[in-house]
Amino acid sequence: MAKLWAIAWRELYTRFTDRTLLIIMLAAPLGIATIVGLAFGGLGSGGSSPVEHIPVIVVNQDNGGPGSTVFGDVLTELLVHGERPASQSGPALDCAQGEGDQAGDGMSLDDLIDGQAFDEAAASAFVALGDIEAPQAGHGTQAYVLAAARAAVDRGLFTALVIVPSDYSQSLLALADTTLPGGTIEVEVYANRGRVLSAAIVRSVVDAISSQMASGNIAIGVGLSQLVEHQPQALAGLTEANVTSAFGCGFMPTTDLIELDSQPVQAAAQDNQAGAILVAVGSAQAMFFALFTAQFGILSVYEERKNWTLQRMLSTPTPRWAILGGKLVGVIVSILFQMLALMIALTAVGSLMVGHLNLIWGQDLGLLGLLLLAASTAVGGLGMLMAGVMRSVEQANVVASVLNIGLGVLGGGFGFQLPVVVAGFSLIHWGREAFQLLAAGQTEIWLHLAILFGQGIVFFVIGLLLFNRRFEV
Amino acid sequence: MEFMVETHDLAKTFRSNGTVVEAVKGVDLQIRKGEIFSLLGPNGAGKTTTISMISGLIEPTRGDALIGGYSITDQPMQAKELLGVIPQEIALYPNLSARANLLFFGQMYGLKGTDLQRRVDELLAFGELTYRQHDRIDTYSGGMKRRINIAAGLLHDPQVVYMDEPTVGIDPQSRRRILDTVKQLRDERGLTVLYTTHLMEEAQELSDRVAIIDHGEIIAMGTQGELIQQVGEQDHLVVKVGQAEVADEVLARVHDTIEGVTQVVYDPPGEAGEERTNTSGLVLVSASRGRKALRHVLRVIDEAGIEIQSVEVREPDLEAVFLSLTGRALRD
Repeated sequence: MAKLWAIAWRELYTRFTDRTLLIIMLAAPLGIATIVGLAFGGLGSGGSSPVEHIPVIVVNQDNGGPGSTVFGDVLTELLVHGERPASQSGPALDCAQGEGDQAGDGMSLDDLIDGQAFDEAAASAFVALGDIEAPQAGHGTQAYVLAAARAAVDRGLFTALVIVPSDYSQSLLALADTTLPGGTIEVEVYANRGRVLSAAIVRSVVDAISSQMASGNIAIGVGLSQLVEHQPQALAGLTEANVTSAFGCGFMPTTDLIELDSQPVQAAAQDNQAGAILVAVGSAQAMFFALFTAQFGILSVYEERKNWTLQRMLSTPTPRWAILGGKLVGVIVSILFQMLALMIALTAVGSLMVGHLNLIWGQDLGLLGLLLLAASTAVGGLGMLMAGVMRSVEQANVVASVLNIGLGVLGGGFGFQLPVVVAGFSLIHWGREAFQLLAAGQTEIWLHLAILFGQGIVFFVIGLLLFNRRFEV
Repeated sequence: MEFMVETHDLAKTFRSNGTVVEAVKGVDLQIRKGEIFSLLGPNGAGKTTTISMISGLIEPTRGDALIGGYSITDQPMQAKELLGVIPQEIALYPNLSARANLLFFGQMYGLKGTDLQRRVDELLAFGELTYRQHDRIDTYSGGMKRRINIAAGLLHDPQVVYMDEPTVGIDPQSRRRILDTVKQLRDERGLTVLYTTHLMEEAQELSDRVAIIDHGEIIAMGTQGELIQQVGEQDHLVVKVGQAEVADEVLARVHDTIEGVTQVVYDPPGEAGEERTNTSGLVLVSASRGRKALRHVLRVIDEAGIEIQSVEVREPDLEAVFLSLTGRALRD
């Protein structure tokens, strides 16, 4: 192992004393990411709002509750039209409507979300147009609609699918009236994997609206309970209409709740808008340039063969795996440094964009470190495979460049994203998506880590076998 | 152990795009401990391939090589611990200092700690480069690089050293120093040296024994005296001519019409920039009675209208041996 570390150290020394390599490693990705951040992120302009008109579909399965209000319809209408349905009324709804349609400074809910109710007719239309494949579930079933809706999100036609459960109203009412069954509100937001930030905003909006409606009902419930307890005769002869008139929003601090709920979402959204673009662009660029760093690092074995330093090493009692392993370790450490430097620099850029420290890569430093290691291993393994497959440095340079650009295109390294079924073939996709998930506060990146580590290890082993078999000096 | 290096039926076949090239066709060598053994042969003769197999750089297709009794195919690590390789190329990292290069390759040989530092100090002193030890290699002169290149192959105090044309491309003073170093290594440290060169005078000066390889086969092996005996007591007439081409008819007339002439070869001077040998631009004539044949040879060449610039009669040497055995000059 001492030999392996010695080779790794020499690799690092060579790399970090070569100005050209340093420029490729650090300046180029940082420059490109910053330029893109400036172009689309509004650095220095106070931060415009590029995240708006998020395409969302809603499948409303709410069967209603004991009262006349079907809260699922309210949620659907708010998401689709940005206002409550005219046919529905009630204090809770007034408050839900209240200022809730104003999602923040100058941006209405209607500006933020482009909602669309999704039913069987919509599902059939998408199938007929060939946008999605026909679900296996039969026509006329809720499963058909849900499967079609999920497929539409997976295909990137929509950012998220909001599934309002059948007991939505029941559960909302049960929060205020403990005699009713239910009580847990579970609205599923099914998100496109490539649009993590937008999906998080949809999630926040749905939660805010549900919370607002729930609070309204709790407030009414508590108010009525107190009246029943202290002045039961006062309730005699009251109808639903005059309860509404009498209590209105007076007992329900829903307006405040909207403010309380929506402001953090909005503030986070502004920070995230700045950071999300940098994370999306920066992570893809970091992965993309890391590919070059890795491949040219490993492929330096050809340069060493030309200079005879490889032959000299091979003439010593040093096994080939140690030589290649040392190179790989050197490359992985270089990539770690490269990506870390880029992340720190982009964090600084992201902080400048919002005027305060903005941890754009998320708070989970442990997972972030693990992801960096996984990404470095994956690109290092690919470099090793290239070294094993290619027959000359000239061939390797051409093929590696073409391959890297191809992986960049597939994985979203050039500003556009392909469907996951295609993008999944690129390690850039898995790295970028995992960075975005961590940035959005989600920690479910185990699949990404497994794919990146697995790919890196498998490629290294194959590359080593090929190298041993084919690389004669 | 009598032999430090042995090869048994060592062979290598290369396959490329359906073409099969048998580069080495079953070489048997025995090199004694403390011996300087030169392997001579023109480019493409199989010299480098043979040495690469002995050094463990490429795997033999057939046969084996033993270094100090260890098989290079079955016990490569043990064999390599005994072997130091000094390639013709400057196999050093140009962006590292001489000391850093020696420390790195020392670690590759398994040295560490104070042993490594001490050994590096010794070899820097041996190469008389202690004063420049912290300078990057790419700031060194050719001769200085060559000395560090040699030092890097001696770090682990090997018992066998393979030196591949170590005097190529350096000035006469540096070349003299290297040849003296090789003899010093043998005399003072008892090193076994496997030396390849295309310069006959180097081989003659250094070698205890010589093997001549051609077309992948050892065609002669022994001391210089033994090899010369194989050729017989033939003289060599060396005629320097003033033009780039000598017609085959002229060479045939010399060979066929002059009594005692056994071989006639013309070694063209080559294109500009092409490597020259010590026979470039010469007509080489082997004759049993050279001085008697000389005037007849000069007459034939003169009658062909070829300008004669100088004439020399050489006693039998390795060049003559090579010429006699292969029918070609060493560079062909």
